[in-house]
Amino acid sequence: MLFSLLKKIDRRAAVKTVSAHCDIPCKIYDPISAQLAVLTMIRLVDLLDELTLKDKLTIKEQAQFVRLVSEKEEHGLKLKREITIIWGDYFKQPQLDQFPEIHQLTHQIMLAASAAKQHVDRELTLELLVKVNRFAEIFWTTKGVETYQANSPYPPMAAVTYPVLNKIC
Amino acid sequence: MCRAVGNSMAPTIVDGSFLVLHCWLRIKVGSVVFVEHPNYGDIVKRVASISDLGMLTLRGDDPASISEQQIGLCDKAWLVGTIIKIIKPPRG
Repeated sequence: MLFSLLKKIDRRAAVKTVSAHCDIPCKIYDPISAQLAVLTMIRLVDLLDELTLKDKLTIKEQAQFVRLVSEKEEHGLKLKREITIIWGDYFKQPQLDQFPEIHQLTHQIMLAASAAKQHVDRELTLELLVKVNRFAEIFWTTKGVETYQANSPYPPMAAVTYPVLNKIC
Repeated sequence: MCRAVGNSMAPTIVDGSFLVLHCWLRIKVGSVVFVEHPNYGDIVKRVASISDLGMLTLRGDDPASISEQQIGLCDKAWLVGTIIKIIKPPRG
């Protein structure tokens, strides 16, 4: 009631505002960045696998090899950062009560991302994608958004969990 | 009185809350204060520390808030007042 009264006063004589903004625009979280990072890792492993078919690498191919490995490492770190930000900043008590598994899942993603970084192994990156997809599914469910799975419309054409956004009013 | 915009002080202050200020109250560590910051403008934050020279460090209650390091040392002269009452919007 007091709030309603103050709101009416605010409408008539605009009350001074004070900023309590965050370092990033509040409430903007999306696991798609993490999902794109793991898709990139899968694609990089595929490109690395193509190089391993050759008996000997030219200087250019060696340079490409170094770059692919370096990018895979970087995207592994990016994925870890994106997941921990959502886990640490977005998930609060109501979401934790809804999905207590999120702590264990986040930890498993950290371990799986490390394994995918350490090796050139498609299976490991696919296992990581499954975990990150589950993370995305949980994230969207806490926001009341349904999800579906579809293959990414670009290489590596792997199954990705997407939000059904056109159902939001 | 003023109105908060944003959630960097959540759950203490949520977006849209009305805040009642006291301009002469002695501040202490833990006080929620309104500061006219030269870089960030009018902000509401919690006092994290007060140095012997009277400089303040401030922080938000929400982990996503800008950090103490980003806000930097604040002069007491920038203080507008201490928040003594928070009227939050009704839930739902």
